[in-house]
Amino acid sequence: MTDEVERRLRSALTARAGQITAERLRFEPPPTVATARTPVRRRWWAAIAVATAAAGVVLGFTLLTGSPEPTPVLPADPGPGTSPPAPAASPAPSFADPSPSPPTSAPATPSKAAGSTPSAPETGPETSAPAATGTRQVTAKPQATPG
Amino acid sequence: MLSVLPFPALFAWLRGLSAEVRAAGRGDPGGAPAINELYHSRRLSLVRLAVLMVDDLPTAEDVVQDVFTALYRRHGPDLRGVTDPNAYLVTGVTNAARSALRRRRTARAYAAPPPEAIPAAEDEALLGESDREMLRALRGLTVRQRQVLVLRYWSELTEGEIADTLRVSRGTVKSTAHRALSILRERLGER
Repeated sequence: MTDEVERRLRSALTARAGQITAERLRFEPPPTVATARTPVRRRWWAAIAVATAAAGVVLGFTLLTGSPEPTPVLPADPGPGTSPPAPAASPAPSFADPSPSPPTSAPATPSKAAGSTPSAPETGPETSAPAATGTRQVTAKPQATPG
Repeated sequence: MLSVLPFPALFAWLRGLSAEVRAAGRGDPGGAPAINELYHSRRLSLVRLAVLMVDDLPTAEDVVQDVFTALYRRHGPDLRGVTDPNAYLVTGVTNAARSALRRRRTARAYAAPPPEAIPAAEDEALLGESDREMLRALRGLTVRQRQVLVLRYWSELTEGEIADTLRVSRGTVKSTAHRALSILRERLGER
């Protein structure tokens, strides 16, 4: 009687297993291919990230070193005799302002200073307050750059 | 200044990477690895074994694929350090099937059983009445009892091999099989 249960059990298991044929199995790649996909894809993403970072470094390096050195803003050279500002030496009776020199330098310096404002932080701490003394900045920079 | 940057090395690296991708897509670039040969020769019988333990074909295929993937990740394509790959696979399928059944049982506690958890109707119809009755009774056993019977009466393993596969003692295998057969006998109305 135990043999009968065992025989039926064997028969049922064999019949059920026999229903599974190779044609019924879905396509699955071998393990070497299936598991190789994920790391390769991950490595591709790493390669793209590295390439992007390298491009960023190259671009930044090019922008920093390739751009010309900001040329110091020189005032329109009025001549050797008038280069030192002498506020007290040139009286201008027509203006109420106590400093008479601004009318000659004022049209040149504010416009050029406005154009060179992005490069101002690179020049150094000596130009940290350009708005307060516009004429002092102009006169100090040519002396600093040749050296 | 740009020529200083290692562009040739970068290009060579990317070339090697794409060649690796192509080789992976082809499958076996330099001769079939041992694990792929094992996969092609043993996959069907392992899926059958898994079907007898978990009932439905998709879960059985997942189980077998996971076992092969784990084998490859742990031992590489040449199966270094594996003395008996077949025993390793049978043990892996048995354990994975048990885990799948446990997950299914947990899921059943919260939701209705999915329709694919039982054999397809056409599969049932193709079986004889006696076989259907036996398989129905087999589904009522515990996971361990069912595994012991499948390994004993379909895989034709000895008690010692079943004990090694399930990592239990031979006495446990013997008593589990005896108890399972008694339950089947009761349910099938035999004495």
